[in-house]
Amino acid sequence: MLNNQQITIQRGLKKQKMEKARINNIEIEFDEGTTILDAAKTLGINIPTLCHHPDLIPTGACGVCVVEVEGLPTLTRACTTPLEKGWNVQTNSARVRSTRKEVVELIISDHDMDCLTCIKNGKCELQELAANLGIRDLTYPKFTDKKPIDTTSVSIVRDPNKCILCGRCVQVCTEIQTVNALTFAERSSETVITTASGEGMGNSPCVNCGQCTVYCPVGALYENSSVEAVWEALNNPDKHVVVQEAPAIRAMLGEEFGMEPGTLVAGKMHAALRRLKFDAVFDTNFTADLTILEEGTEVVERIKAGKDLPVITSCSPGWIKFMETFYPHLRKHVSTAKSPQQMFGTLSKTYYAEQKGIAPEKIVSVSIMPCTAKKFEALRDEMKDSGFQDVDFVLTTRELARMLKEAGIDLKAMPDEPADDPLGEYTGAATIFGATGGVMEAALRSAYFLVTGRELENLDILSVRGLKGRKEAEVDVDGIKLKVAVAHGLGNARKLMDKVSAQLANGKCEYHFIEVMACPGGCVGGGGQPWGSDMAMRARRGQTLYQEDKSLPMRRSHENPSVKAIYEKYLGHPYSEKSHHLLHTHYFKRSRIDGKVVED
Amino acid sequence: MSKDTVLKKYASLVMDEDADVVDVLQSVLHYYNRESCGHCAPCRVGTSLLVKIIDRLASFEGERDNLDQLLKISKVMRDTSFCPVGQAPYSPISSALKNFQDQLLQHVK
Repeated sequence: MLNNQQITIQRGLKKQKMEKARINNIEIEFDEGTTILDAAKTLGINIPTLCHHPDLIPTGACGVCVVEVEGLPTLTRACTTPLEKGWNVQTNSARVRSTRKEVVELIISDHDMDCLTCIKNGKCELQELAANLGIRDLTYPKFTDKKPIDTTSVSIVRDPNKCILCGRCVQVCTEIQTVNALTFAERSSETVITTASGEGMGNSPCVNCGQCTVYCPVGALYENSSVEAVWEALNNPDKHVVVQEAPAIRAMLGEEFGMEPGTLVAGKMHAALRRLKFDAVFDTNFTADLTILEEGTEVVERIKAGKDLPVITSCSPGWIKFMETFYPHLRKHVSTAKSPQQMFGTLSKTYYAEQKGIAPEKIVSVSIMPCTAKKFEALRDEMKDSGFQDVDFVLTTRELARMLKEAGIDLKAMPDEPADDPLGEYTGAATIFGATGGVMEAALRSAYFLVTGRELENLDILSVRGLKGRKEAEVDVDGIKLKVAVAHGLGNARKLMDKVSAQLANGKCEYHFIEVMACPGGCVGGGGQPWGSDMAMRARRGQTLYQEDKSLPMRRSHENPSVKAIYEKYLGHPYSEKSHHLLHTHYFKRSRIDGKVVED
Repeated sequence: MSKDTVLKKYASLVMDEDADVVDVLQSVLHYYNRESCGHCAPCRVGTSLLVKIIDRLASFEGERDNLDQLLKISKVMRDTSFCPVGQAPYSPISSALKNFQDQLLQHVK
């Protein structure tokens, strides 16, 4: 019956030669060049894989996806082999099944078997594969000695004992992010993934973006956790613990609780944090609005003066370290405005402390970020403008989910609650910070007002939205043509910065304002987000933020009443001397060998 | 040794009648382990395990099961390794088991 079934795969609009073959005796019509894996998927056949990831070029490292092609002597990898005309592929023959199982047995023989205490327990792709294939015995002994765990980085931990050498992290680090911090070293049984100098990730050019942790199928790469420290602060009656949540968190925290990717959980998130006994639940979105006023004013001033153009955004700490390491000559172009996280940290221990009459040394400032690089940013030496470490602890989305689960708080059942005053109110412009192009769009909405004194009517600047690697737009602000560019993912940023550097060397750059986000998709695709998120999921989460933006009564940062209040009561005006002291920062030059600050 | 014994592809090894097949296999398998580049799991893990097992047999500490394991692992390697390095150990192991099983069994505890 199924034999006569014909299924057509359509890939984009490109017209290609259609061919016919069979998979498990089902006839299939396919575009030339389609891999066996992709072709089988259209028939509802999921060939098991381990090293394969839809965002990455398949390398065939693991050998789990082998299938049998009738007439060929050896088995064939489905992920790297294009289907050919007239082939009959068997994905579940006796030979395929037993071989596949034995390959997985080989792989787990050199893998730490402490699943119950592993951070990836329940979310591990190798665990799931072993379960699906029905592996019940550990046939072979482990052949490598215990290796030391790399804890040199404040953001990312690497456990080589769990590493299965699939190479996804290396691919992300080199091909997508072009940081080249991680690499394969040695050979044969000694093969390891490490940094070039072998001195650990904390002593490497790693920018802490954490994309390696998102792509790792097992528990070999994960965030340097602050969960215990935050529990301790929450249980300390002498401390006043405040919390901020980045714009992107509300678009994916739900995923950790089984909700559809892209479900908006802003209100539930505030409620859940209150139930974790944070003394005040604020929102990073508030300081995102503030960032727009500070950065927007800076952009406008610099365009008026024609000084140091283009202005480049500074919200993404992965991008900042990347810039300091690979493009230190562009430092003067990067906005001096601190990221929303750091602005919040400073204000929580100055403005908020004063307003509430709480001694700043009693305040513990916690942030929930979609990001591992934020952990590094919070610990930077210069981030102490409040007189204390501005942000004490940074938790990733994953760590917050773990805390909520430990405390038995079911996010799905939470009511919708607003954030607290005075650092909680936000506009739609702040919420789209979490998606690539969002900071640009938010800044343009306010810059238009700052320049013209009139409101921009059409608030949706669609040309800077979406997952295209580099985006450009030209916006007419009262006769001034502003040329803007947006890049997300450091590989795209590198291409754009090479172009900018070349233009600057020739005298003038065509752009006025550039947004860069270190992670593909922006913060919705951050390194602290739920494991296994691919580009398609990132796009859906971005949409969620644009929906929230549309649904909010205020969609321009300069309309935020709490932002107006803080300028009236405390800061004076955007770009004032007080803001300069509290809300702006400076950048360094870093070594490409160990990522440490070097003298100019 | 009989004529259909394969030790290494594209290589010949000269030895006298007293050579012990386990010693010969040990040398051959260590060679493939050294040559494995480490990229694909079947070859990297497979050659590492084969070396571990043959070392046990060479020091007379092996078990009967180890002979089956040698064959099973090398067969998976033949079917799933990326390049001829990982595909190669099957031939010497299977021909040793076929032609010199008695010698191999002498190494079992």
